[in-house]
Formats: sequence, structure tokens, C-alpha cells
Amino acid sequence: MICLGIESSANDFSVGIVDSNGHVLSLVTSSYIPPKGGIHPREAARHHAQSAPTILRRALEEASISIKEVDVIAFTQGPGLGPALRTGATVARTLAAYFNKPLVGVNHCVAHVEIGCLLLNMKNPLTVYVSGGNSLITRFEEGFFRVYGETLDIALGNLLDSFAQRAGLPFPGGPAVERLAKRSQRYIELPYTVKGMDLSFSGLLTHALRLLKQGVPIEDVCYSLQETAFAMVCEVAERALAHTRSDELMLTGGVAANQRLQEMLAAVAKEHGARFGVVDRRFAVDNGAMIAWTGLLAYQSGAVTPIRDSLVKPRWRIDQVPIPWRKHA
Amino acid sequence: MAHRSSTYTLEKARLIARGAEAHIYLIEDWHGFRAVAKVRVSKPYRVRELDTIIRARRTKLEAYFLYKVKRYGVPTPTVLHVDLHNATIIMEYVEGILLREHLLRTPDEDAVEQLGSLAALLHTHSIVHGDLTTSNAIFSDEQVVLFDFGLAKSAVTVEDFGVDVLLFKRSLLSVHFKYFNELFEAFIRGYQRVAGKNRTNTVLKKVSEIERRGRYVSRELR
Repeated sequence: MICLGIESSANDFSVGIVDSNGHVLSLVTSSYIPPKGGIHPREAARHHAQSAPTILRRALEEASISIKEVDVIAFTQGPGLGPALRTGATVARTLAAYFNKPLVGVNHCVAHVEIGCLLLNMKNPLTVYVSGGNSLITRFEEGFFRVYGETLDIALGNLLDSFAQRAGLPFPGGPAVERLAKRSQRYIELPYTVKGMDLSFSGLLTHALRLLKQGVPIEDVCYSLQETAFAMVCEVAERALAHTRSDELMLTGGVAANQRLQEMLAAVAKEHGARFGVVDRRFAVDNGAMIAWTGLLAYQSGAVTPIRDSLVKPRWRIDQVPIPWRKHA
Repeated sequence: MAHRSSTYTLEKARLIARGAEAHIYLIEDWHGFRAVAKVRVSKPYRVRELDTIIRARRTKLEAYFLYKVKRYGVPTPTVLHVDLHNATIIMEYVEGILLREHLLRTPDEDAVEQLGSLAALLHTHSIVHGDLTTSNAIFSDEQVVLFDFGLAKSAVTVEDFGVDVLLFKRSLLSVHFKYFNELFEAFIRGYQRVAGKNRTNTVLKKVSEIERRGRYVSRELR
């Protein structure tokens, strides 16, 4: 069985084709890079609409199949930017209706976890999913993914991107901040905000920008920013690990590429005897393959999304999605 | 456990619990008392400066609030000794089991009701616990004893109280989801008994407001 997945929740338009053996037959992505500032949802949607035909064709070519051989069409139904999601959903609906294929709406966050499990050969990890739009710590338990901790305001990637943008660093900001941070070892105290199991990064952003304005070297600010924000993530991850007694810890999302974060979470995992895995960058960022794979899992357990129920859900929480393909923890 | 302080040693103490943040040692004889040492352990993953700041700050806060809230009638383990340098608090050993374990055995509404009253007692004295979960309370001889005040703070805004209650609600949802409704209602009953109806409603209204503010809450709930 072959599934074609369409991801369009943020600035990437991506198509992945996956078979039921868990082989990724192709993955083609086009990224919308804003000329300046952040991602404007309307501009992202325009980019997606323009790239869709090419990306689709290339994905099919790379997989060496025709659309007729595809058994299921999956798409990101949420969460994400409304206009961007709608563009992907429209493409998916059109394909499903025109070629008479079943349609499956997939939750973006669930897809990040599922592709990670496939690639890292993990069964039920505690997942730290940190990207530009999401920061959450989650694990499957009794029918649903439970959220053990999440950001109360901005996402971790958003913190790094916003800081970088206002500091005049190139987009995406994460890698730029990481490069500069490597040049410093001078820690300056920044607001460390953990509320119970939840995180707040907005005060950290304000304070870091203030330091920069005061003339503190940008390397020191980047270093302190990373150390503080990552320590917060690690603390919550560690508490969730102790709480769930999970023997696997997975790191995914765009920020997963950060080596310092990897190193810190690896230490957390080691202390609790859990196997640590970082999802390969290609599949840790937003990608169509994860949507295809999760769509396939859902379809095989009987889930389909009739077109009338295929409206996008920009605010669809991971803990509201039934997961029929996962039986028990 | 090698402590540099010369006034006591944990060498003979037995490690009885390992939390994410601290290790708990049992000291059979602390000047005649059965005691536990809560040692906030250094985390190798975080930068040393930050590690020192966090451990010392939380140790201090915890010792302060463990002591302070007693006068408002909130049962806590008695603090016997504080060693900031080693981020260690030595406190009375409380016989019993974690409320979490107790509730997993029996969904004891009375116990949660007690906890609700304790939360309200803290709040009426302008204190929030900061990490109100069933793992941070001991069920001892039919009584709920509260501990782990490392994230506690003085607070006066309804927002702070709301966050406190919301954290508890979320912890119920993640561990005791099977009996969530009964247990949360019991919590509110206990809270209301101390804080009164108006105050409780104000806080609960705030809780739903914070929830709606949360990320990706469906439009219907907004």
C-alpha cells in the first residue's frame, strides 16, 4: 500500500510518498523564505499554491510511480497557519476526489512522533518536539498522546528566530544563534520560567534583546539564551521522564538540529537509563513523508476523512486526536 | 553522598527516592528524629552557573515556605536543617505514601478534597505552591501533607492562583484521568470550603480564561 502525504502547515510545502513497509519512496519540499521579517500566512499560502504542481510531479517522479498507484492521500489537517493549511488541504481534496482515492487528515504533531518512531525504531518514546511553531513534551498513553509539558507562549524555535531576526541575523535564526553561542562561555543570568511542567519563553526573549541593546556582546547573549532556554526544556523533559518512566527519549522538530540541545538531552536520557534518539534533520523538520506515514497508519486502522469533514483545524491539539493504531503504552 | 559541610554526613543515609530534581535520603537518627535529606542534585547538562543559581534558590524557597505555611495550618514536614551550599534540606520523615500512589489504588475523594482545602489555605495567605500535583503530597494517617515548595512564591493576583489550580487540574488529567471528574470536583469542594463560593468562582473563571488562552484551544471553547 502506498500513501502520498502533503504537508503545508507553515512555510514548507512538502510531498512525501511512503509504502506500508515504512520505506520513504520520495520526499520533495519547497520552502518559503520570507524576504524579511517572519512568515506571513498569506504569502506562505501563495507560495504553496504556486509550488504545488511542481512538487507533486517531482515527488511522483522520484518515487517512479504514477498517481494511479497511490492508494491513499494524506494531508496535514492541523495545527498550523490557516491559509497555509487550507492550500495543502485543497490540493489533497482535489487529488482524492479526481482520482477517487481515500483521504486522511493527519495531525501534524502526531506525524512528527510517528515518523521519528519509524526511523529510530522506537516503540513509545517520550518525545521532545521543538520547532518554530510548537514546543511540547508528549507520550502516548491509553488512547491519546498526553502532553506532559508545553510552552505557554512562544515556541522554542520562535524564540531563537525572533531573537535572531531582531538582532539582524539571517533566517532561520536557530543555526545563526548556535554558531555565535559556540564562541562564548560567559553565562549571564536570564529569566528561567518553568511553571509546573510548562515553559514560558517570552520573558527570555525580551530580556535577551534588552541585554543586546545594553551592549552585551552578541556571542554572550546567544550563549546565555541557549543555555537558559535549553535547561528549561531539559528540566521538564527530565521530570516527564521520571514521571512516565519511559525508556526512550526522542528529540524532533526543527530545533532538534541544535547540537547543544542534543548533548543536553542525551545527558538527561543517560541519567534515567533511557535510549536517546534524534530524528534525522530531513525528517525532523516539516515534511510530507511524516504525513504520508501517519496517514497510512491511520488508514490501515480504518480511519478515513470524508471531504465534508476535511476542513482544516489550525488549533488541533495533539491530545485531542484518537490514535486507533496504537493499542497500548 | 559526600557533603563538604562538616556538621553532618549522609554517608550512612539510605537513598530512598530519586526524583527528577532531587534525591531523598533516609536518616534513621537525626538527633533523635527519623529524618530525610532532600538533596537537589547538580545537573551535568546545565551550565554550572545556572545550576548553582537554580539549586540554591529553590532550596531556600522550599525551606522558607515549608516553615512559613505551617502557621496557616498547612501540614508540611518540619524543617530540621538547611544547607544551602549543598542545596540540601533535612526535614522530618513523614510516614505514609505518595498521594499519587494512594489515588491510583483508590480514587479517594476525601484526600483530594483535603488537598483542595490546603491549596485554598495557601492562596488565602497569598502563597502559591507552584507545582501542585499528587506527587507532591503524602497521604499519611488519613491526612494530606504537602511538600516540594521549590517553585512556591508569594502571590496576590487571581492569575497566579488560577495557574496553581490549572497545574493541579492538568496533573489530574495526565495521571488520574480515569477519575478526573470526581477528583477535580472534590478538589473544588475542598477549595470552596476554605475560600468561599465567590472567591472559588473567581479563581475557576480565571482557570478557564487561562485555558482558553492556551495554545491550540479549539474555537468552540474560546
